[in-house]
Formats: sequence, C-alpha cells, structure tokens
Amino acid sequence: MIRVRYRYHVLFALPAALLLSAVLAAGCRKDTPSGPPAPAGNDTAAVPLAITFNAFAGNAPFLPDTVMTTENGIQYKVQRLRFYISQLELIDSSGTHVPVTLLDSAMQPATYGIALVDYGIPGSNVLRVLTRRGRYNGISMAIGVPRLAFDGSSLNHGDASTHLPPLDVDADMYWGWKPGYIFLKIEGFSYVAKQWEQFVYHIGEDKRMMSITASGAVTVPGDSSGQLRLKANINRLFVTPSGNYLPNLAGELADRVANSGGPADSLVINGQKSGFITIQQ
Amino acid sequence: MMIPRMHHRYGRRALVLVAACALASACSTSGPPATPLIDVPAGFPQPHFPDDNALTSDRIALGKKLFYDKQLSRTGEVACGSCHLQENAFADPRPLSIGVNGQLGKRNAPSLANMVYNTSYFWDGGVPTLEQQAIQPIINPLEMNMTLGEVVSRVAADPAYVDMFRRAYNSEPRPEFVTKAIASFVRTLVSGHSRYDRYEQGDTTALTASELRGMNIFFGEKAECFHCHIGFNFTNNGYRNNGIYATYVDKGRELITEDPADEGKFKVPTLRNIALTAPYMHDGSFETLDAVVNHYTSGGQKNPNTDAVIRPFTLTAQERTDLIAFLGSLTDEQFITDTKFRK
Repeated sequence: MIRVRYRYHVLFALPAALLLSAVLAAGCRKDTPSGPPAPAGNDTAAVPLAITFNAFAGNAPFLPDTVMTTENGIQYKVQRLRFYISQLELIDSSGTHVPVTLLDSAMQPATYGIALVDYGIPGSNVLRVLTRRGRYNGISMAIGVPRLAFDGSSLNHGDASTHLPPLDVDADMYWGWKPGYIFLKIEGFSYVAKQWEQFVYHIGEDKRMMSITASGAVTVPGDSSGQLRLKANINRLFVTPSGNYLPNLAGELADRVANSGGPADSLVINGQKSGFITIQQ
Repeated sequence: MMIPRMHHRYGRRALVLVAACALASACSTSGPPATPLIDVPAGFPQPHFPDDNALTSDRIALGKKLFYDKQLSRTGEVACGSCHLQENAFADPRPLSIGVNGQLGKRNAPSLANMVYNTSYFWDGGVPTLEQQAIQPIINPLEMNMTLGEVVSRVAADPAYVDMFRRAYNSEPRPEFVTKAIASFVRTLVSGHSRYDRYEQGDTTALTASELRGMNIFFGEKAECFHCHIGFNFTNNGYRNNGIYATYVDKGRELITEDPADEGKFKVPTLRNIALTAPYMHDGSFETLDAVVNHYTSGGQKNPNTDAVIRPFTLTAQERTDLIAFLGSLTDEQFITDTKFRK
C-alpha cells in the first residue's frame, strides 16, 4: 500500500494571500528562526516555487523495478530510492545564498525544514517552497538530516519516537540500533555473474551529510507559476569525481551491501561532486 | 590476602528510597505515590531520570502493561517480556532470541537489571537512552516487526490503555509515550539484594567460605575479573574484546564507531544475577559459567583487538569452584520473585 504523505496539488489553487500568511506564520515559529527570505528592494512578497526532483538513469527516466544500465554497463534495477532534502537555498548573482521556506502538506512551513523524497510515494518528489522572486544562478541543498533542529534540540540523533513526519520512525528511514536517520536509501538488484544479486546502500551519520550545489539559471517569477526541475541522475551515484566506478554494483557482497566504509563514502562523494543533482534544462 | 572491597563499593549507606523522583516536574495527573517507585539498594548511587520523562507510578504501570503485551508484535507472538524473563533476571535463556514467525535474532538478549544506571544500550552501546532503546525491538523485522503507528492503533482501540495513557502522560496514545512508558518500567528493574550485598553491608555470615575464597580470586590479580567487572554494578560500562573469536562475524562496537580498533568489542555486562543469565557472551555461545571460566583461563583467541587483560592463567579445581560459587552469590532472589515486576 502506498502511503501518501503530502498533498501538494492544492498549492496552486491557494490564493496568494494564504501563502503570504504562511510566510508570516513562519516568522513567528520558534523552529524556523531563519524564517522566510528577507524582502529585498521591491521584492517584498514571498512567492511559491515548486521544486521537482525527476529521477533518471542517464537519460532514461527512472522507473522502479525496471532494468537500467550504469555508465560502465552494469544492469541494475532499483526497488527503493529515498532521500531527505534539507537546507535548501537559492544562489543569487552575487553568490549570496537565499534561504527558502519549505512547506508541508498543509502549506505551512515544514516543522523541521526537511522533506523526504520517496519514489515509492507519488508526488513526494515535488517540494513546495516559498522564496523571493528573482533570477538566480543555482540552488544548494543537503541530502541528510541536520544534527540539530532549528530550536537547537537534537534532531538527527534525537528520540525519533517524538518526531513528526517526515522524521517519524515509521518513515522507515531510521536506524533504531544506532539512533540516527538514513539520509539516502537505495536498494535493488544488479546483474552479477549472470544472475541478479541484491544491493542495499543506506547512507547516514553526520559526517555523511551531502552538500550539493546545482548551478544554472533559475527564475522565480512573481506569481504562483514558479517551477524548478532538477534531475536526480542515479547513474552518477556510481561514478567518482575522477571517473572511477565506485561503489561497484557488480562487486562482492561488501561492495553491494553497505552503510559505512568505502562504499558509503564513495556514494557521498559521488552524490556531492559527480552531478547526482543537476538543474534540468 | 586482603580483599580490595572498595573496588566494588560506592560506600555504605542506608536504604535510600527514591520516592518523589522529580514528581514535581511530572505531567502525570496522579498524585504522589504512597510507596517508593524504586528501592535504591545500599551502596548504589541515586539513579537519574530524563527531564522529559520523570518517573511516576502511572508511567511505570503503563510501561509494565506494554512490556508484557504481545500486541506490540506484528503477529501477536512476542512481547518484550518474551525474551526478558524475570526468572532469568530479565535475560533470555536461549542463545539467540526468537522474534515473530520464529525468526532468530542475532544476539543474546541481556539482563535488564540496573539498566537505569547505564548510559548506553545494546551490546554495542549504540543507543544512548532507554526511550530510544525501546524503539528497536518493536521495529526490528527479526523481533517484533512492527511500526510504532500500528502499535498506537492497537492500544488506542483498548479503552483501558487509553485511560492509562491519559493518566500517565495526559495524552492519547502516541509513539513517544509508548517508548517513554516502557523506559519507565525498565528503570524500576533494580537489583541489589544478593547475599553478596548483605555481606557488603556487614553481614559476615552471608557468604560461605568457598564464596569468600572465590571473591578473593575475583578481585585478585591472577584472575583480574574486577578490571572490567567493577563497581556496584560489576561493570566498568566499557567495551572490550575478550577474545572469544579470532574473526568476528558480528563486528560489535565497530558497527557504531566505524573504527576497526573496535572490532569485536562488546559492552562489559553486569555480573549481577550471572548464575541466572546463561548462556553467556553477546551471542550466547557459552552455555555455562564453567565454560566462561575455561575461556578466560585459556587466554582466548588471537585477535588484533583482544584486550591485554585477556591472557592465560591457571586455576586449581578448588579455585574454579570457589570463583563460580562467588558468582552465584550475586543472585538476587528478591529481584526475580518481586511481584511488582511480574506480569
């Protein structure tokens, strides 16, 4: 059964006034101390922007349980692909990072400023945010859960039974044996020695927060039509910045099943530096 | 030979009763309890309680009901109390615990005695609080294989539970109060009324001659047991590789720290009630205390991380008997028969 966590489809039916009220509410919440972007010049209103993470394997749109091919020719299919997005910021022409306010399904500032993109949950790959209108040169984000919440309390390693979605225990992104969140989960099968073998990568721990910057023109119009399409190219998770193919999807068990060590570290470096997330032209 | 008893004593004090237990800060709607919530044995330090989960009788009662409730497992087969048996000092007599659908776990369920004094939980110490510890057995596919949401749905359908949650936390059932209540009950499982404790409190007749000789061996420099099993709870709360394997399938503490130097290290367990908690070690691989003593006298397996204190030594047959007799004096009959811990 598919659990639908977010209902974003109502956003663009909302009047601008409601969105503005959400911004004002954000300014009053302790858990969003940075609040919405500060008005600049005449851009006094925060406007909505929809950020879509479209998953691909190379140029082929990603479909669960469908055979795809890595850049070094390994066939694989993904059953689960999930990751937490946090610390979203737009980058203006001067290089200044402009915070954006992530909204939850009720179009209120998200409690933790974090969204779970889960390709098993339709619509969860579309994030609704409020930001300042304008032209930007890129977007930055983290894949992961910050160590501390906005109010300074423990978040990544806090008591998850007290946390709300998307950080609830039942999101199935939590290590109960080592309290902390799985930032990125990718599970499936790869074709190894003429048979399908399982691969399971669960990436977490503070030191494995992925800081990602995607450069390119981003326009946030002054109305509710703002759209930013990002490409999440799964294949690039398996290519190092220097062009090697690690972790090895066709390797030994230790290469294919990991939550630490070399395979996990490679995935983090690749996620940050090999173009996992790019602006989709 | 002088017995260095200060190794294992924190000082003699009269029985201290933790009654109020920060009740002033509790959210419970109940009044102060008529009886103490935890009996702190003589020589034991005062336990600490988290600011957001003060101990109350209603929380303990709710936690006990949850602890023994098999509804917490997917199939209704397994409760916390299925693997933590009071007659075994809340340990599991099976080498590995069995979860839903007969699935075998990966480690031996440890005794829950004196968990209120621990600062980390599980054999690898990966979990820092009892509240967080309570999550894992519930969600582990090999144990209860549940979601916290489903647990809440089940208990919320029971008016008795709804009333208990309201009394304990002034709330409808919620995941955080499931884990907080279980942690509250586990905190009450304090064990410190063994014959050894009576001896420590001045009753020189509490131990037999054999047990006294065994105590000398335990705290002596030949067996060196006390280097790790020290203090009122017979543990230094550290992690040690005691050389039971040359190569560890279960990496132990390394799973938490990602440090190869921690491979094969596991938490030093309390030895209280040790005669009741067989089998031994993290994987229940030693069936008897005699096998454990054999292991230590042999010096263990060669592993890069085997602790320096693990090296061969010799015990006579009498010394072996005495040492095991002393370990038996750590059994707390009151703890394993106390009706307030019983289902």
